Amino acid sequence: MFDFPTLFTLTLFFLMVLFLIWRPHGINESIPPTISAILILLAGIVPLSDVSKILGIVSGASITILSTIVMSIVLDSIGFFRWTAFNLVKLAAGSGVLLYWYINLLCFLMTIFFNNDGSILITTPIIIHIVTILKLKAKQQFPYLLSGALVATASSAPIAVSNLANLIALEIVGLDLNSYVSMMFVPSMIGITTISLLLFYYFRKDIPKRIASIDGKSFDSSSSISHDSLADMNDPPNYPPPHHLPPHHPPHPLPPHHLSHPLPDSVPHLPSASTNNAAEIDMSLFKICMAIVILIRAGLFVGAGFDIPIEWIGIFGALVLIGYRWYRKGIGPYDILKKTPWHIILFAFSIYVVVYALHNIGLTALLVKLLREPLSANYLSASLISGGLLTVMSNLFNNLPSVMIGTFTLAGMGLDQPTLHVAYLANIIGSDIGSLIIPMGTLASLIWMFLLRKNGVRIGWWDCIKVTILVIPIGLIISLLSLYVWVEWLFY
Amino acid sequence: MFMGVFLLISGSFLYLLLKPPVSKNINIQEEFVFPKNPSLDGEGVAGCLTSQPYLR
Repeated sequence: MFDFPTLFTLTLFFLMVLFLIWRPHGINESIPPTISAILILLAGIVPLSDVSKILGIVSGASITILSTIVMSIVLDSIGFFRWTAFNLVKLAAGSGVLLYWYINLLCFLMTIFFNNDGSILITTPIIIHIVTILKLKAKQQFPYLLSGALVATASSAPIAVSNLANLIALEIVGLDLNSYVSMMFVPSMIGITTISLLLFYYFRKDIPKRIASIDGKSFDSSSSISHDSLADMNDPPNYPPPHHLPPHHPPHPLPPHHLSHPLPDSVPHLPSASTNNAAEIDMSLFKICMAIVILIRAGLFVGAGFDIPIEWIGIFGALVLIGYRWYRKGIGPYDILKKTPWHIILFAFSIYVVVYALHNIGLTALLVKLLREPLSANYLSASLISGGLLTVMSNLFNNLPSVMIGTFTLAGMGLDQPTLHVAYLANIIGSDIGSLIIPMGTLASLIWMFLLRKNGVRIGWWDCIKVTILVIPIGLIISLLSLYVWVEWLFY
Repeated sequence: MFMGVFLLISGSFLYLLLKPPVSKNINIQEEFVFPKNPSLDGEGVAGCLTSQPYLR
């Protein structure tokens, strides 16, 4: 039925996905794709002559993501995220509803300014910390945790630079960053807002009306807590707090090193006596770092307008932050070199080789044959079919290989440019938003589940799917329809 | 232009969410970790946020 290359490649692909999700003994996530890629190259399914071409496509995207990871590691090392939990509780002013929206906002912004995986790694411990210290019941914690994770992951859609898969796909279809944003920002923001609102409606009875609040305009020794407003102070959470931490550790356990894909080994440090080095508040340092982050993010789009490769701007931003920290704190770059997940380049390259092999054995040709006619009928079909296909594939095989397969398929269809762009953007919506139905859809979701388990929060796959199966498809369809309306109205 | 404005507004919100709660250089360990008000040591959000919540 199948010839050897087909059988060999399909077997390797499914094994790679299986090991990527399972990760026995916590193996590094780049190992399964790397082994698969080596075997594929040895078997000659992808010729060695294509290696440099593949490297050219994935290296820019990987370096851009690495630079944002480096920036978040530098910021974390100077205590940048340390006050977030405190600030959120203070801003919520005793309202559980306000806290929900602030958490959603934080997760959105962290993904916009850094990237989706980094956002999950930084915000999840913060949210766990908040719901634990507020002594919320498990049922009350779930809305905050789930909505934060879903919003953080979905928020990689609006501006492309927050997600490795988006950047690689962008390279394949030859769309520039500013064109992407102009066509994608509004539809994906409508989708993210829809998801947030639907989640709020779904959880409206579980979100506590009143939570603990912090009184006072600044937090000093005279601050006090309104104990009477605590949500069920006498009814402790249904899971035990992670009391196994040794003294003087950050209040949330660090993720293990093997969970670094494609993530920084970086988590925020909340205020504690243990963080002596970072205990000093330096407002001018904070403000300048914040300005650098915003300027570099804006610089990506300015640079794209002048055809400056975005990875150069990313590298420049990371170097500026490292240099500034060195100047102000006397901390050299060695810790950054050690903590940066350099294997992300190998990871992206290997996944691409495997997907390229699937392309070479005819998988994408098959999809092209099946989908070309219905997809090219009009922009609405292009949007719905492409987004729907990516949603199904992402939830079955994870979104990174899926988005590459989807993009290859579109590139091979010979579509006119407007249809190609609509289908490609729908691909991204399926990959970033549609993939959230099942936790295995994105690596960020898998990391989130792992972080919850490590912190003693018992939320199973089925608990999530019961919610996402209702919320995500609606958000997805609204996003895809918005994309169609927006693009047809303003662009083509 | 649009992205510049968007990132500026978003950055301002992020600044609000992340900024330390005081506006001058200060040693947190002295001022926050060991609050003088003993009621904060045992219970409450402030006590939890500034000390070791799981070790109390």
